[in-house]
Amino acid sequence: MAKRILYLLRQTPYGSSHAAEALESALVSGVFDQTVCVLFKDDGVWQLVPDQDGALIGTRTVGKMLKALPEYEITRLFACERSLAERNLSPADLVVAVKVLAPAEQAELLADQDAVLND
Amino acid sequence: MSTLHLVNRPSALASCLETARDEDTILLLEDGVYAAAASDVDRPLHAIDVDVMARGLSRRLRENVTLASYEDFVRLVEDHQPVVSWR
Repeated sequence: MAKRILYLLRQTPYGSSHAAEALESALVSGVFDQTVCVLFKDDGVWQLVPDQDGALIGTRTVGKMLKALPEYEITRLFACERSLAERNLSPADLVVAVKVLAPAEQAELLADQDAVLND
Repeated sequence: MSTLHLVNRPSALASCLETARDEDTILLLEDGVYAAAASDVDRPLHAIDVDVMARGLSRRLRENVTLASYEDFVRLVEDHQPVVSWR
């Protein structure tokens, strides 16, 4: 039976390979028909910035991996309202469309999962 | 000679600023370049160009930020002493 899995992504896209590896894991969960969603929070919202180019520093482009999520039927993407605002990031100007959540909404989202995985 | 401060993480900038003198140079690199887009610091900052571009920050830089190539980085190291790393 499909499990509800939330990926809680809180790491910068290029400071380590953690973010890219968690996204790969999310894509695999999607392939296996799990009910996957993603919450970007704290430094994880930096993954959503447009115009990334990992090739310049010899690594995969995390922004491009995010664009692949809908192809794996992972369309429920969320971002923390505070984390975006603290970093001058506009919800309208991100690499994929996300639903912006206040703290109480994030609490409900977390409580609704079978498993929560981190990057 | 003045000091060169290297900031690798955005959260390290505050500690760096506590000890940097006005004549010192601050260079943001790796994840430190996020401070070039999100901090409210007014003093001049340098940021490694490829680290800025890779992260999609080119058009998000604040006005006090100057881009530096790796060649500029070498020149800054030559022209400063000591070099302090804030990781």
